[in-house]
Amino acid sequence: MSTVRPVVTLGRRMPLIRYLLFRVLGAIPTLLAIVTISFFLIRFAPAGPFDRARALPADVVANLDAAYGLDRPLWQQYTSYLRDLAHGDFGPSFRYKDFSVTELIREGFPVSATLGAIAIAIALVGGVGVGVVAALNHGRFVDHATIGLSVVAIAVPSFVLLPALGLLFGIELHWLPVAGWDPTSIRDYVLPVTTLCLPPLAYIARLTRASMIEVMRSAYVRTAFAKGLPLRTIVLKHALRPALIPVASYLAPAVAMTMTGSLVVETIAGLPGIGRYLVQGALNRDYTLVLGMVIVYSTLLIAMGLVVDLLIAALDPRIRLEA
Amino acid sequence: MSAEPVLVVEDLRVEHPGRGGAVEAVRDVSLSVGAGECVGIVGESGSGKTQLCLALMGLLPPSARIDGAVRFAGAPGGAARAVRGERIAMVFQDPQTALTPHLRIGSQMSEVLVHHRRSSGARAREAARAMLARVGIPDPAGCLRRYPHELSGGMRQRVLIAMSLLCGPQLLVADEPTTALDVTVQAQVLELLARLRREQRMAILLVSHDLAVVAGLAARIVVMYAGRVVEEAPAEALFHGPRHPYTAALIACAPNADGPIPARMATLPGQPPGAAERFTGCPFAARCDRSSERCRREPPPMTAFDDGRRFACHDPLPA
Repeated sequence: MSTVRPVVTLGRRMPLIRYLLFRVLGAIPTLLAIVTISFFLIRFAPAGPFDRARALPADVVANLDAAYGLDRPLWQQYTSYLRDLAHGDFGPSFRYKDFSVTELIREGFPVSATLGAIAIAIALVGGVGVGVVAALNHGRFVDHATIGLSVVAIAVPSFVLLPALGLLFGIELHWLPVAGWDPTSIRDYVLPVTTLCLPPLAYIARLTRASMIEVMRSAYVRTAFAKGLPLRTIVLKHALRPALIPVASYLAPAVAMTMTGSLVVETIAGLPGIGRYLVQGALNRDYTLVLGMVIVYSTLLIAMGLVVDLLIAALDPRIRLEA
Repeated sequence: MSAEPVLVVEDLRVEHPGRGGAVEAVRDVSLSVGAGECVGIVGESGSGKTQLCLALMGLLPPSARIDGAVRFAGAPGGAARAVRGERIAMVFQDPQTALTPHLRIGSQMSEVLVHHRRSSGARAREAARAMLARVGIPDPAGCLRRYPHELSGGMRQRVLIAMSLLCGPQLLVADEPTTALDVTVQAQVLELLARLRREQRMAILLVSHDLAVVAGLAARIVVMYAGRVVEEAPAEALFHGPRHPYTAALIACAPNADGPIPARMATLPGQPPGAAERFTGCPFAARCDRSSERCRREPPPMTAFDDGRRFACHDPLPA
């Protein structure tokens, strides 16, 4: 005997499958709009991928333009880009010779995504833990210390933190490698993951603390106290779930941001991720690479938005999912 | 008055320290509730009723300064806090917010028995279902599976009452249990409380700003003003012959459905002193039409009488 119970409580009008279908189909025009705007924005930026301080001979430029299709009218380039995109082809990179954008992203994304996912997971567990402890000690030393440290963690930039950590744990103590990448060696992960996870951890701690303080003052938590329940039950069963709603909302941009890599961290630690492609691609006018990165980032953001909405609906049964 | 009281409060004082001096929410309140007795507490908003209830339950924030004695007969050492939710239970004013929104009713009810009685989940659910049936929930088994937002205000208050009664408490503290409800639902909830008191032989401390709510249920009524007790008397006697001018004013302000409809509702001009305000004499002096120089200078002492009446007034109304 088995009963099927929906994971998410939905409005009676909209079953989960239909809701998901709506959201996924709804993402297509959004992505198309993002791609279109980005395509023309980067094209209208002055200079092109083959411009150098010393100008190339005119016939070389003409050959390059012909090879990459830049000699055709812009709208034709746009439609042919979309056609290739529909077949899953992001086009050739203008700067990384002999590499397609698909290859670049396929190689780099797992590195950035792995580091980012680990960092966000640690930030989530650690941040919620720290935030709850701070909230339960509201106004006391632990609370003030948490606030103070979180400001530091958010404010110190990664280009200061990572070298500082490398100096201490790599060069002084010889505990960890300063840079380099071997996916099978956990030791290589420690410093970049630490650098990546501290700001979101601090931010999640602050979000959790603030909402937890509010929830602990709510009437239903007072009822739970009046029922004589132990503090552990009150916090974990009654207070934590509603307190996590602001954290869930923050997760969408945080995950998309962290999993697409960090230019600073990956450059300093010598990691073969995709963190540098967006900035470098834009500076080099590597049109296809920029667009590829924009697509990866926005897809991740849109997907996380959906995940977060489901998560919030799961946290609060009063919320109905409606497209 | 019953022989052995379940609750004795002596000179209870609650202060909340803050910037610009402490706020005195409850000042020297003494009262007692006998076993199985219903005592009403009446007063305007801000008269310290809720603060008094929270102090009894040990639910005030740790920053609050509490003086005086609260002895609860059902607890070892008299501390209600230790038997909270079991021997002494509380029902709150606003049923809209008093239930945890993300937990089903069944889960919120059964956890009380699982914690206090070490019941198994299944036994606790069955007890919860039976209690919901007793408080008049039409489909108790279905109600257990509901979330609070799927119930009406009246149903939620019934759920809260049922939840507070699961362990068979000796004393129920009901803080404005009907204020957030429609008038018809109000009457049902009060009837329910009256019935449960008889059946469970449980004492009730019924708090309300509304004299009419308290009148039907309480054998004795305590009138509070500005954090103090100003008068206490058996319900009948209080209504028919209030001695404290404030009590008289409260009774005069209560709309009377039987009498002629007045062109203008009776009101009591002015406002009660704020909890942070300091004054030397009687707290009601500024609004009292009988007040004299002495009232503003000297706090009136509490005078107790053999018939169970007491009041604090220099110039009481004639008996």
